[in-house]
This record gives sequence, structure tokens and C-alpha cells, in this order.
Amino acid sequence: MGVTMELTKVEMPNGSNAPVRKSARRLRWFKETLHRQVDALAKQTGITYEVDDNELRALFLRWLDAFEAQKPDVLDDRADFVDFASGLMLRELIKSKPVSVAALPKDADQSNPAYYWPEGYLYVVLCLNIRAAVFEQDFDVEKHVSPNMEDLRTWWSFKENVETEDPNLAIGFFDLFAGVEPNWAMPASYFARKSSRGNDAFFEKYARKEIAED
Amino acid sequence: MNAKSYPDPSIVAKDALRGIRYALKRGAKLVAEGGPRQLPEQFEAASNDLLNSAESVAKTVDRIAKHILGLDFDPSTFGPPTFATPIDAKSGSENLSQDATNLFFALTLCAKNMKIDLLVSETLCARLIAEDASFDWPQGQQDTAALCTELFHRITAMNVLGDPPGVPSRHNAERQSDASRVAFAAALWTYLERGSFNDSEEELITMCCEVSGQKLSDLDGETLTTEKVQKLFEYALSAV
Repeated sequence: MGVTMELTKVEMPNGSNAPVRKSARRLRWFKETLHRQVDALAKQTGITYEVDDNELRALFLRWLDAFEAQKPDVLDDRADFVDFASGLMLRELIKSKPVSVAALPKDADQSNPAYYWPEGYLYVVLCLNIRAAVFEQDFDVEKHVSPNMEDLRTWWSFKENVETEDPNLAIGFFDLFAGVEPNWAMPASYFARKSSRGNDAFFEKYARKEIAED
Repeated sequence: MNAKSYPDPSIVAKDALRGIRYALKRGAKLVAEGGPRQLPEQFEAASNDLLNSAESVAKTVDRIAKHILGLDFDPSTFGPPTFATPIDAKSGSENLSQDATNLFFALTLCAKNMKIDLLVSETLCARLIAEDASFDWPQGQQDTAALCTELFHRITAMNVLGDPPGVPSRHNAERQSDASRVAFAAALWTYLERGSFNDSEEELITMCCEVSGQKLSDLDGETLTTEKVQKLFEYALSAV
């Protein structure tokens, strides 16, 4: 039951031959992709998931609203906006919880992030995969995930912070998993993200809290 | 198809029966919700008898209508009208009846999904489609948002959605706003691109209602121009 740093890949739906960056803004495409991701991860991990399509549709429309509201008229750093939009998606998934776990395999290793927080892990993998598909298609860049994906302490911190403190922190944690420098101060604002790069105080406070406690 | 030809008499009969069902159910609901509750005992009993009778008559009408005319929704035959799918287009008269039924159910399902209480006329759906066919739209040359906009305007202009005769009507503005919302979602569903995904037609109706609902406030007000409606359709078509 190997779950390694290589993400559980899914084949993205065709979506009328539109580029992934456009297709990802379509409800049908997103629904199909999430279901494919669930199937792929279930096959790899032995976890049985259940998907609530009502929640899925509602969260997608909230994400689309946020995406439209934050997208600048002129994008001078398209790659960074792809990262940010993927983080926004993770935030909505975590807030809405459209996927639940019906059953874990008997031999599930809770020290593995995929079993420690199966729903959160699924959401992160889904967003990383969509982001990777956009990068590959639009920028001809193959994306790899950060070692943080396998670091259980980062996952403790991630779960605790987004569930009990502020779901917006999911955007910062997404950057962390993607190997991008997070903006912890105002993670939900693209404008603030652009203007306050390099602020790592929040990172020290939240992402590494568990490490410090060790 | 001659635009002035009368729809199939069975369609008119279906509408008549639906009107009776709707009026009975809504009348009973109004009595139940708005009737005086502090009636003397004998009037209270009479009021309850009336409600029970109305419900019983409505069920009888349902049975007759379903048995004779087939009013039930059938998912296996439900799909976009052929005027929206040129590949299936045959002569207008062959498809008119099924197209009218599909447009009727699309509007009915959208209204139900949006929790809007309006009666849809299948007769007017048939007339709208017959007139559309007579216009012979240059389908391949128009973009989808323009076609959606045209259908939306025709549905609202022809009063396909409304209250049946004899039922107390709501304020015109409120009814118009509700009718616009339902018409928008149904027009979106009609011209939605199919083939790339596996969602059922009922799921597509739900998605169209939810994406339409996201922009509902933009459908209200007096500044609803054709350009604005078309922009909304462009957005909605790209989002579903």
C-alpha cells in the first residue's frame, strides 16, 4: 500500500479540448476530475470514500466567485496566480468537506499523511494535480511536490490550523506542499501575496509549531 | 412547420389537466395556510372536508392524466430539444411534440429545483418551437450565448410560465422575476454542449440552476438589456 511523494496521478477530463486552465473553471470538469481523483486514491490506498455532489457543486461556485474577484485585470505573473487559485480551491474544499471516509483499511498506517487525514490528503493531491496539469500545458514545466508532503508534523500543523484557527491558512499550506514560498500574513488576498513576499514570521509561528514543541 | 398551426390536441388536454391539478393543490394550500383557524366547530369541519376533497380530486386527476396522457417525467426520453442539436434535426412536425415535452419538463424541473411555484404551459412550449422553426435560425452562424438569449426572450415574452386561470396571481413584478430565473436556467440547459462529460440530463438541470442562481441578482431590475443577458449566458456556458 505504497503512498509516496509521487502524487497519485489522474488523467484530466478532455473538456472539449479546452486548455486545463479554462476547463478547471467548469463545474462539470471539476466534478469529473474530483471523482477520478477519489477513484485513483481509493485504489492506491484501500480507503473507501464517499462524495457529496451537492457540496461539491456549491463549493465550486464559491471558488469561482473568489477566483473572479481576485483575478487581476492584467496578470504579470500567471504562474503565481495559478498557485494562488489552486490554494483557494484547497481552502473551499476544506471548508465544505465534500468527501468523507466510509472505511479505512485495517492495516492503515496513521503515520502516513494519506491515512492520518485522508480527506485533507485527497484535497491537497487533487489541487496539486490540477496545478501540475496547468503548468505542464501552459508553461511546459513539470512540477514536483515538496518533501513537506511526507512530513507528518507539517500535516498535524496543517490540520490543526485550518480546522481550528483559519481555513484561509490552507492557501499558505498549499504553497508549502507545492514548494512555493507562502504568504502567511494575508494568505487569502492575491494583492497582499504579491506585495508582501518574504514574510516568514507566520510560517515560523504556524507551520513549524509542532516541530518546536518536539 | 406552420407557425399558426395548432399544437397536438393531446398537449392542450395535458395543459388543461395540469391546470386543474395545480389550481386544486394551490387552492387547498391557500385555504390551509391562509384560512381562519378560529372557526366554529362545524365550519372547521367543513374546511377540513374541503381540503380532503380537493386532495382527493387532485389525486383522481393525476391518475386519469397519467393513465391517458402520460404526464409522468420519463428520464429515458428527456433531452435537449432537436432545434438545439442540429445533428438530430428532422422536419419540424416530427419533433415538435417531443421537443415541446422536453422544453416543458426542462422548465418544470428548473422551477422545482429553484423552489419557484409557477405553472408551465406545454401548449405554449409547442407554439414557441413551431414559431422558432418557421424563423429558420442560421444556427451554425450564431454563437451559443446568442441562441440562449433568443430562447430566453421568447420564453419570457410568450408567458410560457404563469398562473393558471382562476388562481389568485402574485404581483406581476415578482412573477416576472421568477419566470426570468427559470427561463434563464432552462435556456442554458437547452444549448449546453454535451458529449465531453457523463452527467445525466437531470444533473445538468441542477447544475444550470445552481450556476444561474449564482448570478440571479443580475437578472433583476429594469436594466436587463439583450447585451447584459448575453454576457450572463457567456459566463454561465463557460461555468457549467
